Parts: sequence; structure tokens; C-alpha cells
Amino acid sequence: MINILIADDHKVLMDGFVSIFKNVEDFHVVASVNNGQEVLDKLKETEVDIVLLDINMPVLNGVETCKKISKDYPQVKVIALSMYRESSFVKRMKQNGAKGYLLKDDSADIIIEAIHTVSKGKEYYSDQLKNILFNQVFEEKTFNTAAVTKREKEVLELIAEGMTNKEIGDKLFVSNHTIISHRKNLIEKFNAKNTAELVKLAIEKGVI
Amino acid sequence: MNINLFFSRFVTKRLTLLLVLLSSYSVFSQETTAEEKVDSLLLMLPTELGEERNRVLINILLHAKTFDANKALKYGRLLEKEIRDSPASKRKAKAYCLIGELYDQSGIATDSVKIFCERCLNIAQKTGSRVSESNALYRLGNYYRGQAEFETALDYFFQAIDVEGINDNNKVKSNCLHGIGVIKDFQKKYDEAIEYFQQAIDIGYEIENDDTIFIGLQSLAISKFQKGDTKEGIKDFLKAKKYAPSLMNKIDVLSNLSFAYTMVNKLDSAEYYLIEANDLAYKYGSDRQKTSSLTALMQFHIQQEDWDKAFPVLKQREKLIKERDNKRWLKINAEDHALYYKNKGDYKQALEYQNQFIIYNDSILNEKNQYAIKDLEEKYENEKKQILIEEQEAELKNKKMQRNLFLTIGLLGILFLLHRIRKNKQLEKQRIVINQKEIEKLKKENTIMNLSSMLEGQHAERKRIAQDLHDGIGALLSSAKLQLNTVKSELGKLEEMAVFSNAETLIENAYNEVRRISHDMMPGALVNLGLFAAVEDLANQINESSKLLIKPQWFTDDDDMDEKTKVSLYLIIQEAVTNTVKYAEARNLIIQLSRNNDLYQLTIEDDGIGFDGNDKTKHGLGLKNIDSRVDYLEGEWEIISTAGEGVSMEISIPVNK
Repeated sequence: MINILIADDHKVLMDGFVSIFKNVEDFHVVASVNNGQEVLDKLKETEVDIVLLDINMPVLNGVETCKKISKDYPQVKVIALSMYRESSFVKRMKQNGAKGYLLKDDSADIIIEAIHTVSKGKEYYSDQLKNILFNQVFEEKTFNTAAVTKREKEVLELIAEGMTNKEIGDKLFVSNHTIISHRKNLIEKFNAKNTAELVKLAIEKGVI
Repeated sequence: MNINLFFSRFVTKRLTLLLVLLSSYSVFSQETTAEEKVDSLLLMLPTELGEERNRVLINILLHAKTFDANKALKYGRLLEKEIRDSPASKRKAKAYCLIGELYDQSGIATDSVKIFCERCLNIAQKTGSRVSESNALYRLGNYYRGQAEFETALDYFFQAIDVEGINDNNKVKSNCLHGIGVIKDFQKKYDEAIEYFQQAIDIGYEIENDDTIFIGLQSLAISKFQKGDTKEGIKDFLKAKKYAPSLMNKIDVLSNLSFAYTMVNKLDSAEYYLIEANDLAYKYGSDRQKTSSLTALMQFHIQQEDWDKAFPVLKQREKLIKERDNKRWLKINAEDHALYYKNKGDYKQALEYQNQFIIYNDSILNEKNQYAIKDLEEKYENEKKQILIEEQEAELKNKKMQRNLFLTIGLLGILFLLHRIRKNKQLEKQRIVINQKEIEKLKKENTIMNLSSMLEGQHAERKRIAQDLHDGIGALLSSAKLQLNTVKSELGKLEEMAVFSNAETLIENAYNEVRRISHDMMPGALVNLGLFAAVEDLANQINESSKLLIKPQWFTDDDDMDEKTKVSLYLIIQEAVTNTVKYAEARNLIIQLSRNNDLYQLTIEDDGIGFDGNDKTKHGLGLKNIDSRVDYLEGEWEIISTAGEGVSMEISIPVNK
């Protein structure tokens, strides 16, 4: 028997799920609540295996709720159920510990399948999100290739010449602080340990 | 003798009555039979009556001249024959005076005026006939005025006034004063002219002679107008209107009023008086007067270049002219039609009327010549025929010149007024421009405040609508689909399956549409996850759908970023991305946010074609939106671009705490 908690602020939709889940043999809907805070309250008193969690909810939204569940109830598995299909949501919910992500226009069969899959300790993502997830992995890669702005390139060249922050600032007519900020950002961009490695990496990658 | 005397008085009475009747019905010129009656009555006058016969003739003349100077002249000539050999007497002086006056009024043979008036003056001075003397002096003054010998004319006028033994307030005196005024006016001594006209009018009031008052007021008005005192001039014209002794005079003064109002650019009033003149002519006037007033009205519209108004008047007049079949008017009609159609661009019609005009003109010239010859033969038996014609023409020319002068002055006045009006309009335009500048300035000053409240309102509204759409309608559609799904397994027939599948697709489409609109209004990620997530979604979407590769890089965090900054920065970035996709032809776009103490530094940089610093036009609206949003955040920004070097934006926004 899988104990399910449904959280959505739309009663019509929730009633729909409840009636569908009634006909599923091993499903047991322990409660249906309207917001994130109510989820946390219910978890205190009820044993729950799966939380079917909407993201856009009053009081406490799904993103924050998920984070808190993962932290306070690691045994409770969260499946996000949202209208949002942007990768940022999928990514964030994943980061916050959700084991699955479903879309509200997924069919009842898929939702049932997802609950079964996640309860067995696996992850489940809606088919509609496969493309997004793949692209996201690909994008992560491209984002890692440092892209340097014109101003940063100027600063890099002057750093490579061995100038101090103040000297560079004077030359580019900007403040000392700005150059420090640029240098810091560049080190982060190239994932370098220090300025010396930054210059070395920049030359290697052909930036300067 | 007694019987003769009685008979002569009887005939005189009959004649007088007849003449009065004829004059009151204005049929004298048309009814030759009436004229014949007068003639036959005259024949009945016993020739041996002598002095008494002359007295009767003079009486007839006095009546006849009031309504037709030319016909009166016929009796004048008869009188002249009869008295030629009689001895000098007061009556002879009066007779010559009358004949001179008749010639003067008929407007022909001006030399005859001089001859008869000099004869009259001679006899009057001999016989001590003061009235005839002053009358003759006045006529001579008038004659010399017509000859443009102003000094001689003035001399005669002053002599006429100074004749002793006659009442100060008489018509001749006022006529002289008027004559002096006319000369002074012509010499542009307007103040003097006004003074003399005023004296003439005062006498007119004294002797209660509307004629005198009317003529005086008209002249006075014209002098005041020439002097530049337009308001007073118009007042005098209006006064003159009350005293107009005849229909013609009334129409005359109405036309003058119209002209005066045109001069002061009160075109409505000008048109009003022309129409009044026209109505008057139509109710009571002769065809000639109707035609004249219609012509005046039409010319007014033509001067205003109001061809649409001119046309019906033109047509109305044409109807009138065609009824009368007068060649002179037909010529004018053709001429005006040609002008009208030329201006309307209908050259075919214009040419047709122009041809008509030429035909009439030739025919009239022919007739005129014949008539002139006939006239000369008939009227001037004496010597100087040729001289008379020349003088006549000279006078006509002189009159024409005077009229032309007045017209020219009028035209110049109108041109000057038009110039003034145009200048005023220009000034007004400049004023409007200045006002607009001020408004722009004020707007600019108020921009930040207004924009702030506007954008804030906009953000809140966007967020609300986006969420309503998303949660409300989205949820309803999802549950509809879910409900629909529950019956799916119970469907048997193929048709039912097709209907089901259609319905499902429709719901899906509606759902996606709601989601898209909601996202465009306010991305859910921005509300629920923050700026970076929303920008990354935007980047992903662009990266998937275009050649452009967007690389957002964050060197700070967005956790404590306030709503206002978050939403505005997102919209700035969105605007920049849109611009880049549309115009930059770039491969890469860097979006980078870092924080330097209390400032967020947003850098947006592409490697596209860039644009010349001066040519921001096509990026215009996007840049303007960015500008107003940076203003709203009280930040600063600069955009750097050179052709071929990409576009680089540096935006600094204070961190709100």
C-alpha cells in the first residue's frame, strides 16, 4: 500500500486525482491539502510515502516545501506535479530533492506509473520533459566554456602584462574596486585558483 | 392771354402728373409711347407763351432729371434752342445751369457742362442770380475736378461757397464741401478730406437731405479707411446704409461694407453684406442690379478661392444673363466661366467659354463702334466731335485709373493682411513647438515618477493575470482532460474514439495556449525561482530555436534581490535579447551579472554586426524601453557599438536593501 499526500490549491483537480486513485489497487490517499504549509503540518502526524506536490501554491510554494521535506523527512518521496515545463523548475525541484517531475497535462496512466516507479526508489520524469533534460545537460557543458566580455579581455591583457589593479583602473578610467571585481569574476569564469593560473588558462584557451 | 395762360398751366399740370406717374412706375425708358405722350403734350404748348413756355420746360426738366438724365437731356436741348436768343435773365441763367447739370449727370459731353455752366455763370453774375451763380461755380468745380485740374476745381468750389446772399445750409454748398473733400482725399490729405466731408454731412442733416448725408458718409468712410481708421470707416458705412436714398445706393453701400470687412479680414461679415445686397437686388432691383450684385458675390468667392461657392452664383447669374440676352453680360459670363473652369482644371470647358468670350467681345466691339458713330452723329452736331470723344475716353480712363488705384490699394491691403495672417500662424506654430518642448521637458521630469508607478502597476497586474491564467484556467483544463480520460476505456465505436481524440486535442491546445500567454506575461520561474532561473529559461528557449547562443553568467546570487529589481532586470534582459535576435546577426550573447558593493553590474554583449553610434533608429523602441527601466531602477547605463564590432551594454543598478 502506497500512502499518498496530494497538495494542490485547486479543488477540482485534486478531486479528480482522488477519484482516479480510488480505483488503483495499492494506492491510498491519506490527505489532500491546499498549500505547502499544510503539507508540512500533515507530515508531522501522518505516515506518507509519496507527496504529489504542485509548485504554484499560496502560503508556501512547492519549491520551498520540497526543500523542507527533503531536509526534515528524507524518507518521503516528492513528485512535482506542475504546469511549468521550463528546465529551471525541473532543475530546481531536482536540486531540492524531488524524485520525479510530472506535468499537469500528463494522463492519469502516466501519473499512476510515476507514483509506482518513484515508490520503488527510482526517479520518474514526464516524457514531455526528456528533451528538456537532455538539452539541459548539453547546455551545462556549453555554459562551462568561459565567455569573456570585451572589458574583461582588456583587463586580462593588462593583468598578463603584470599591472596592478590600480594601474589597470587608471588606464581604463575605472575604479580600483571595479578591477578587483573583474579579476574575481575572471578567476571564477576560468575556474582558476589564482591570477597566475588565470593568465595561463586564458592564453591556453586563446582568449588573449 | 388769360386763356393761353390757363391752358399752359393745364398742360403743365398734365405733364407734371404724367411725369410723376412715369417716374413712379419707372417705365420711362421702356415705354416709348409714354415718351411720345409727353412729346405731344409739349407740342400742345403754345409757342407764343415765351417766358411761360420756358418755365414749363424747366419744370419738365426738373422732373425728368430725377429719374433719367439722358431723356431729360432731350428736353434740355429743346429748352436750349428756345432760350438761345432770349435776353439774359435769371430764368435763362437757371436754364443754362440746368442744362449744364444735365450734361454733368448724363456723364457724356463734359465739355458741354463747361460751356453751359460758363454761360450760366456769366448771366447769373450779370442778373445777380445768386443761386444759379453758386450752382454754376459748383458745376465748374466739378468739371475741373473731373479734368484732374484740382487747383482750379478747388478755386471754383471755394468761390461757390463764398457766394453771398444765399443760405449757408444748402445742397450746393454741401456738394462743394464734398467736392473739396474728394480732391483732398485724392491728394491723400485724409484728415482735411474727413473734415470737409463731415461739414458736408452736417449740412445734409440740417437740410434733411438723405442724398447728401449718404454720399458724404460713404466718402467719409472711404477716407477713414484709406487713413487706416478701418473701424470708424465701417461705422460710417453702416450709418450710410441707413440713409441710402435709393436701392442702387443701398446695394452700393452694402458692397462697400463687404469690401471693408474683407479688408479687415472679417470674411463672414463681408459675405453677409454681399448676400444682403444680392437679396435686395433680387427682391426689388432691375436685372442689371441683380447681375451686378451676383457678380460682386461671385468675385468675392473667387477672391477667397472658394470655387465651390462661386459656382452656384455663376450659374444663377448665367440664367439671368441668358434671359436678357445682353451681349456685354454674355461676354462677362463667358469670361468668368472660362476662369472658373481653368481653375477647376477643366480645360476643355474653359476653352469652350474662352471661345464664346472672344466671339461676344468681337461682336460687342463692332456694335460699340457703330453705336458710337451713330451716337456722335446724333448728339454732337457741333464742332469738337473728335475732341469730345477723346475727352470722354480720357475721363473714362481717369475714372478707371481711380478705380484701379482703389482696387490696387485694396489688393495690396488684402495681400498684406494675408501675409499678417500667415505670419501669425507661423508664430502660433512656433509657440506650439515651444509648448511641446516644455511639455516634453515636464514629461521627462515626471517620467521617473510616472514610469515608476506605471511599471509597478504593470508588474503587479501582469503577475496577477499570469497567475490567474495559469492556475485558474490551467487547472480547469487539466481536470477537464483528466475527467475526459476516465471514460476513455468505455469508448466502443471508432467514431466515438475520433470525437474523443478531437476533444482531447482541443483541450490540450487550449491548455498550451494559456500556459504560453501566462509565461509571456510573467514567467513562473521569475516569480517562484528568481531572476537567474528565468533568464536561463529564456536562454534555453533562444538557444533551441535560433542560431544565437546565449551564455548567462552569474557572479552574485539572486536570493535577496527585491521584486522590483528582479522583474525590471528580467525585462531589460528580455528586451536586449529580442534586439539581438532581431538585428545583431550575432553568434554569441553574453549576459553577465556581478555585484560590486552596492551596485549590480549587468553586462550584455554580442558579437554581431553592431551599429553606427548615430544609427540607433531600428533599435529605437527596445533601447527606449531599456532606458526607462534603468531610470525606474535609478541606475545608469551605456551602450557602446561600432559597425562590425557588436553591441555592448553596461548597466549599473543600485542594490536595494
